[in-house]
Amino acid sequence: MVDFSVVFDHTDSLLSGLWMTTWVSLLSIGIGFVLGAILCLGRMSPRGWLRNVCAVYISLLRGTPLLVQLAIVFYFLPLAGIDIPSIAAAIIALSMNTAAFQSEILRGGFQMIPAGQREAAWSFGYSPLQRLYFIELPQVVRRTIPSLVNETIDIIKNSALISTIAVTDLMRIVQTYSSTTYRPIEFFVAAGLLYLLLTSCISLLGRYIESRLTTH
Amino acid sequence: MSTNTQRAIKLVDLKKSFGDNQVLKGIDLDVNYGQVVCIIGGSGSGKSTMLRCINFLEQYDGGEVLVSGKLIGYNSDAQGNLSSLPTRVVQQDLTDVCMVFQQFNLWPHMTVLENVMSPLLRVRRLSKKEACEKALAVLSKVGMEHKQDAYPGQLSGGQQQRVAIARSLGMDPKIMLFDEPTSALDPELVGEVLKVMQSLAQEGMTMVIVTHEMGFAAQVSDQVVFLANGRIAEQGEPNRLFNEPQTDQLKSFLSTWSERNGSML
Repeated sequence: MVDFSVVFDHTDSLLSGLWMTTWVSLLSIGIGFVLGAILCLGRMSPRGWLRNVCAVYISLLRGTPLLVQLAIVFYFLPLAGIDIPSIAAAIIALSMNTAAFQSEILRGGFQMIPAGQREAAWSFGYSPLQRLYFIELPQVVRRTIPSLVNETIDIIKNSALISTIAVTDLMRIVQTYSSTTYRPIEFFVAAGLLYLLLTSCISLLGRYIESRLTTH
Repeated sequence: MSTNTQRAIKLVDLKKSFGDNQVLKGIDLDVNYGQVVCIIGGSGSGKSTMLRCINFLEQYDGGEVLVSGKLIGYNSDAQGNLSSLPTRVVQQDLTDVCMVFQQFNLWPHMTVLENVMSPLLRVRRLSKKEACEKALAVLSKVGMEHKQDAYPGQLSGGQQQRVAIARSLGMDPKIMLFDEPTSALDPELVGEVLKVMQSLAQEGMTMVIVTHEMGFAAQVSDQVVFLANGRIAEQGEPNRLFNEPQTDQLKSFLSTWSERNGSML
């Protein structure tokens, strides 16, 4: 019968897997945000070739499965003579993937700012960088927090795929124990609950930040 | 030096097209320091475009815009060939000019005080203390210091526009441009904004105002300019312009206006 005591025997390993999933996902989200912001600016650039390059990047990364992207990064880099641990390959692939999604989220945020606010900044003498940093980005981040939280939750869930390239994340550890103990139900239910715990925390954190930043 | 340096603003044969549509067909206008000039005209007459060309929110494609005698937006070499100036230089040349917008264009993520302080900190590079003192001074001038911690979204349109005026005043402009400053306001809120503008006019601020408020134009302006189809159809002192319109265009414009507003002025 179903007996969860077997899961509790491996609490330490499961928690270390959860920790791996957490930091790899959040680091990828962070790197992906910076890359995504740069992509987004490129996508709105007055230079046509730059807009096209960014658009192609975004459709490639949004239009192919993350699993394929992971495999390509994992197998391609050693082929190109770059030897990196599988964790690094996982972070690179997740960051590149989420960058494409986050850039589109951010672009939506930029487009919601009325042109008049940019004109006001211009006529007060703000440089383009100052305008970006003091006027546009704070508003874009506020307006896109719900979508960015969604994307973070997506990346946490999709990060289960990095178990396929030998990263010992939560999913990898659960798979290992379920096959060695022949207790798949207990371990996969436990994995589901731990993912749920993590995504619920992110969701709560997002709502807290949103409430702190509201301006009316 | 030429007499140009005496003029706050000088427009010479100013032209601007959007695609095939020529909006400004050659405008000549002189505004002296201390003068208040109101621009009136129907929609599509080019009045907002003209104002936006003065502070280069629109790049004009013919003629000249001179502010304090300085050509704005372009560099003219000895042969009279024009080349575009870098944005940074254009912004520098327009330091003395501030624009108040129809939609206020306050930054919604900043409080009233932060809105006024921001350009002082970022552009004027004042210390936080100096910027705060200056901001409070101009806010009290427009009667908004009690709302310093409110966000723009919490204010009425009239209050937002007064804050926007304060934000401009903080920069110590010599010339203020107003682009239909009361057109987005509910009728009962128009008065408080006009009052602030009137007191600025009395202090001798150089102002160019695009407006539909004929009564206000008649009261405060030294000169009224009537624009029609991208040209100045008529201009002069408000008394003469409103009481003895010379052109058919102005006559019909004024009669339409007074029909809609009950009485003349």
